[in-house]
Amino acid sequence: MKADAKREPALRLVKRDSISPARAVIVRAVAIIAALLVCGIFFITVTDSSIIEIYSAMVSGTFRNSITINTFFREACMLLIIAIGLAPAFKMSFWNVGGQGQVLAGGMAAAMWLFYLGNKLPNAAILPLMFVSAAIGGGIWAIIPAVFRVKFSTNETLFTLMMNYIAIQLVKYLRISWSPIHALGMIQRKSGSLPALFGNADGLIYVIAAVGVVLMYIYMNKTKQGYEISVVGEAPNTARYAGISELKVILRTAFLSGAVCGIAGFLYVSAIDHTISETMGGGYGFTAVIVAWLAKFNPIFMTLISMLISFVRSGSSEIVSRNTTTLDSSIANINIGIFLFFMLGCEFFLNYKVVFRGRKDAKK
Amino acid sequence: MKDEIAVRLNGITKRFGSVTANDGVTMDVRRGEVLALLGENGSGKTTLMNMLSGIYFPDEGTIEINGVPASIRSPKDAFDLGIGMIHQHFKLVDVFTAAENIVLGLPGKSSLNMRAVKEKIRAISEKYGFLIDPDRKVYNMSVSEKQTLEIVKVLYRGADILILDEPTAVLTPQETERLFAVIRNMRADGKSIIIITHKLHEVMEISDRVAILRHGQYITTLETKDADERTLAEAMVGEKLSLNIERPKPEGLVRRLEVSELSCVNAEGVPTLRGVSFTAYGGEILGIAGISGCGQKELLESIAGLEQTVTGSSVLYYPDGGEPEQLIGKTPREIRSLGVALSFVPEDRLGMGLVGSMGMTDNMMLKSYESGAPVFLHKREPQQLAESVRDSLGVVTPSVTTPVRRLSGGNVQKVLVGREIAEAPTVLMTAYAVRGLDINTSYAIYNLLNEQKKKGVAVIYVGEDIDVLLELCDRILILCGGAVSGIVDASTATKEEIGLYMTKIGGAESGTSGGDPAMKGGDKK
Amino acid sequence: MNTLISWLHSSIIYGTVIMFGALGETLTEKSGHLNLGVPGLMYLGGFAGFASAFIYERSTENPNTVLLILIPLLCAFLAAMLGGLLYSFMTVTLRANQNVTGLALTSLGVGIGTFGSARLLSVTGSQSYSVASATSAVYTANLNSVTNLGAFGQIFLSYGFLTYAAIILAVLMNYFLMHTRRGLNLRAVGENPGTADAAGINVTLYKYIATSVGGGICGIGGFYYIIEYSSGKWSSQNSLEAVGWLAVALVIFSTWKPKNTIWASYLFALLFWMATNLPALTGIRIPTSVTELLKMTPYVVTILVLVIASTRKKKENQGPASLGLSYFREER
Repeated sequence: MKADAKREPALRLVKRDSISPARAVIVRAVAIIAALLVCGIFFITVTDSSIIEIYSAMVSGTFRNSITINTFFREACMLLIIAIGLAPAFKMSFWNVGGQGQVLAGGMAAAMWLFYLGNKLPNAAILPLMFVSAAIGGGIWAIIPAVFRVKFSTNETLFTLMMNYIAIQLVKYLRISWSPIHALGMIQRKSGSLPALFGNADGLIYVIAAVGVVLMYIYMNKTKQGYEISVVGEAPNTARYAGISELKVILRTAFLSGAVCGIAGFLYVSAIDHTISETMGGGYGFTAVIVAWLAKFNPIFMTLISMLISFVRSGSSEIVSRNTTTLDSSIANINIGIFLFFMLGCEFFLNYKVVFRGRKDAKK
Repeated sequence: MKDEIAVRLNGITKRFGSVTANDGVTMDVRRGEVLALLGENGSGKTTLMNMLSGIYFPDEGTIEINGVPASIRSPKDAFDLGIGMIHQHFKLVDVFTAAENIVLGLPGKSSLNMRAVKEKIRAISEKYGFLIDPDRKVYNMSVSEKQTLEIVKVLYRGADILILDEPTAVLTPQETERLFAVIRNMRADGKSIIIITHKLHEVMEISDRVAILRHGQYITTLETKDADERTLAEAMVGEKLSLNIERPKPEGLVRRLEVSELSCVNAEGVPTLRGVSFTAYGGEILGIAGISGCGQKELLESIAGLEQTVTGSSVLYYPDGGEPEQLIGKTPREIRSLGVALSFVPEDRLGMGLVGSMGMTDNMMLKSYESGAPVFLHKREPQQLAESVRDSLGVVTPSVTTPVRRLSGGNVQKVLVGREIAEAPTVLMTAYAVRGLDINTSYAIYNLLNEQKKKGVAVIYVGEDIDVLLELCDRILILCGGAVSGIVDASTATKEEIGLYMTKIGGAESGTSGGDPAMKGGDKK
Repeated sequence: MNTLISWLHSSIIYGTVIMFGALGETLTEKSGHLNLGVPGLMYLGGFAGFASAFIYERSTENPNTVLLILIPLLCAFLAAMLGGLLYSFMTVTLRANQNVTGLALTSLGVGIGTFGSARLLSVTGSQSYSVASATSAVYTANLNSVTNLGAFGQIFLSYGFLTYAAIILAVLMNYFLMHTRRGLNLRAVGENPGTADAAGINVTLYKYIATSVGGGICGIGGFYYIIEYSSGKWSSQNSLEAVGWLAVALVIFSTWKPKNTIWASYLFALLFWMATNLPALTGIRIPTSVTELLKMTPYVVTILVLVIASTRKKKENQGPASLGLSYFREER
């Protein structure tokens, strides 16, 4: 009898009906602190610094002066723009992991104007052209897999992934054929650079990111198209039943998703890199997937998570810069990885409650 | 032997979140008997049995098997104790053969000897009288073949205690008889058999004793020979219920929808509808009966414009005598934009018809969200509609913005039916409108349909319970293998008659002739 | 002629890398897990295998041949297995989304791999790469150098033992999946976990083990890449990530059957090396920029394969029915 009682599961999971906002904040805060601790311990093992030195270096690396603060915000904005681009696609259950490719496609479309007409057209003419063609380029890059998904239910996850590599090879091709001599340098042209705003070269990036967040929030929650995305994403049969054209919604949303990523490509070309390279968007394609997912496609949460990740990145590079002989910049990726795993893992504790043996879960 | 206790349940309680599925159930099962476990949908029958078969683990209470306390933490533990369960949704792997499905999960030598497995399957089949091909892939099997496979699978594992979860729901009356014969063979072999059901006549026919659950609680166990259907039904629902469903006389019948030679093929090119013809009249309820998967879904979807590959015609006649409208070839949206009011309650409520994560308000505007000024959503009218549906149909929900996924099955169904009726349809098609609902909610739905009928709406009701069809509908159309095998007058037809039509493939000729006179006599009734 | 031989030679080596990855992912997917962390797993395995060989070689004057083989192989397998374990923990126990977890694992694995390479470079003081020469010598020892059979030897015998081990692994995995009890059970877990669960199969355990072992096999692929394809050099500019994605795509191309993985891997690799070899073979001069375009071929082919695979309707050629879906027993 006793032996049998022991075989009752030691702990069981009970699904939560809902969780209070305050509790949700606490769970997430605990996850972030735990991730910070693990990152700190990791740094201690690879450097000789103390834990306080590590954290103070991370903070000062981010907020030391206007340059570091600017970099922090700029990186957060770029990640955020890609994430808000991916969000509507995910909400529609369209796994667009081709953010990188769409950024590059947009970048190529923008750089094309810069390369051919950068000395001939004034800024006022060339920038809108670059902006629009970047959006179209990114959109096309995303709509191709969408067409096949709709027509043949081809797996869009791998398709968009492969489109990344095709874009990378195209960029390599263009770099060589456009600029054989200065293959690695900037495309120096008279026009085509985003003007500074309030004396800040990245000012317009902030504006575009902020406007993008607001527009995307309205689009997803208040418009008819946003409503269609929700229906198609969660209940495709219901959408068919209601007469919503799945084909139209998927193609339109995929295009929109790619277009926003394409705009990120435009910003890289016109404001940050002033050239194209296959490393443009530096791996944000995947990070943005996770950002959008963690935020449950809520643009406000996406903003917060993007800033958190940007902080980890700038903090990590500060520690790298203090230990250049033993560390390199890839350490930031490890720390971001650690963060993402903790954030992903904490989702579980938001949805489930663990009940230990012998304890009655009479109350919710 | 007869009175030995095979299973004893002691104070079993199981909760899911805030819902208590089983509350302190204490009962037992003897060896060599057929015990019917009777209860309404949602009374906790399946949950209780899932704890016996190791799918769930009880929150409280103990289980004894053959007098020995047992802790059943997994299906494997259940097998080891000789317990086998045949689930309502078959637990089979589609791409495996029958033999592979049977050997699945069994201990033994690490390499598989399929020949020995097939030998043993043949031996079991001969002993109890099963017909089964061990090399047949499951996706090629009929429903009844799959069920046979499930039972053989359990016997192969040497089960002495068999649990069958609503085994007859998917069978024709003839297949049911065959199943009952096998069950009697097994009982004679000394096995304990538990049948979960809510069909009273089957309880009377096959069981030795009946255990009754209500709202998750154990009520009583009766000797079948001492019980009758009426006492069982009362014990099951716990209150006196009128067994009669109201059937107002059809009045002012007018031709509303004329379907002729409707045919349809599925994605694999297999015909799902074969030349279906019938007429639906405003002011009557036309029932559609048939074994599941005989074209009911395709028929409704064809009319609603959801099927792509349809030939034939379905013509809608307006109540005011306007120009008749051909529906075939139009998309659901076109059908609506032409002012055609065609309402449709799909089979799978949440998968098709509602969006689970949205509240009532957002679900109300599923078909009308495009109206009003462009770009932005207009939520005020849907919200008013949601509130009026909630109040008039008594939908229990914390708020009209609570995701409908969190509502109970009956409330979800009310939301769906309420929305469809709000469109003031001229033809209202429903599929399995009361599936999974308790008796009171079912009657509420029947009343709603009758109200529509009285308003002159042509109601098409696809159902699975023949008793309900016979009491609710004015005429019943029976589908078999995608064709109409008969149309009968519900007030005179018998259950056996319908059961025969359900199994008569291609018997359209004699069937339709039986239906049309009944219709022509409709005015006289 | 020499171009053709070198094309075939490099294709077989490159194909073997993909084959290990695809076999690992096949085993993983048979349990219902679509693990997009393969590139990360290959990085983990490649780095752990190389680093352990590197450290062992520097720690002793006379390295033992058996240890030279065993230490890196085990380290590669175990490191990537831990990656698979982490993936299983996230998706099975913590019920996280499979795609998102896989991508996070890729980010983490690639990060650890490149970070580790920098650490090793700081030890050697070299600018571009570090090398484990003794291990590489053992792993690339082949029959061609002793038999001297000309072209035949160059094409078929000039590889280290892991190249042949990959084929044997594919055959064994095929036998395991199709003709053993556990293989049948594993397939059932991926097809229909509810059914497998009801049949008394420990779904969680099968998912954990298949995903972890599958991860380990991917890791060996990463290690093979370093030791055979890169001749034992670890540099910070590895293209392991692309190989990882090709491996994921190859699983679909081979219709989830390990025996198809063998020829499919070599075919993929032939296409991959077409860009560099076809011009020389045909005598057409192609500008370097166009070579970059030709390097798209394997990715374009992968897309074609995806499209063709999606138009296939035969049930036996589809992936596991519940691939990518989570399974929780008490969900209701």
